[in-house]
Amino acid sequence: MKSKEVKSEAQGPSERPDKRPYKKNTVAILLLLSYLCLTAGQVSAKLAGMVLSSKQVISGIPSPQLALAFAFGTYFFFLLRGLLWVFLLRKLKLVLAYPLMSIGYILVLAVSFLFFKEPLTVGKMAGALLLMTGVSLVSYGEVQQKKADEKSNEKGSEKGSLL
Amino acid sequence: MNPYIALLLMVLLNTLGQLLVKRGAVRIESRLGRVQLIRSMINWPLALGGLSVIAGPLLYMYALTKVELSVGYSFSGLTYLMVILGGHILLKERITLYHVIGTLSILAGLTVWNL
Repeated sequence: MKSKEVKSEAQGPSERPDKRPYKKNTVAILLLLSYLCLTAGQVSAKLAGMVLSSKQVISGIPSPQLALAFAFGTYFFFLLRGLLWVFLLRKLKLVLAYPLMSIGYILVLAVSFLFFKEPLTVGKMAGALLLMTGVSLVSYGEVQQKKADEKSNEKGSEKGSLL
Repeated sequence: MNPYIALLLMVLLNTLGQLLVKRGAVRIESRLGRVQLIRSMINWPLALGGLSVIAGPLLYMYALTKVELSVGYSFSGLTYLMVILGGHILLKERITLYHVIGTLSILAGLTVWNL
């Protein structure tokens, strides 16, 4: 028991931040789950589309019920992903959040190629890179603008705080 | 309906939904305590947000009956772009050089992807 007490004392207050109720692991897990929901939702949506355009997806199960099942799946995963992102946006730095979300382009591209055998063209790969770069740049611009706004707000409120 | 029109409609709905939620949140924050105003403001963002949540996936699935998944998904970048630009126009936030270059990159990416 003594060694445990010594350890916790040695850690000090800086090791136990009260401001961050989420550990880093939680964010990583939420992020991974959001990617899973993204791919599951997209696959579900495409499967629903395939069934609706009367392609045989699973033989033996009638089309309308199958389409409905996939539609429900789509809604479920879309909403779940939305929920996960509500939490993630609170805990991730803004400059990271949207670029991380844009990794979805690679994931969905891979899934569309592996699962649905859609041709993987150079255009799609180049497009994915350009999209990810663009999202990262715009995110950085957002952060820049926020910092500039904060600075101008500080200057404005300094006069008021003298009272 | 042309699948691309369905996709563009979905993008529009999602953009409006997200923008109104953003705006609704901003308004509600600044008028805390005035319960009547909050009640009247809750209808707008919720209505359009609800519409985009319900109709968005439907439009998406319809479009996917006719186009590839990778084609359909590329339009989500357009949603992001329109939310940012819309936010700047409606809420009068400033735009930096990174915004401009990033926007061009996103648009280029969309074009190249769908060539």
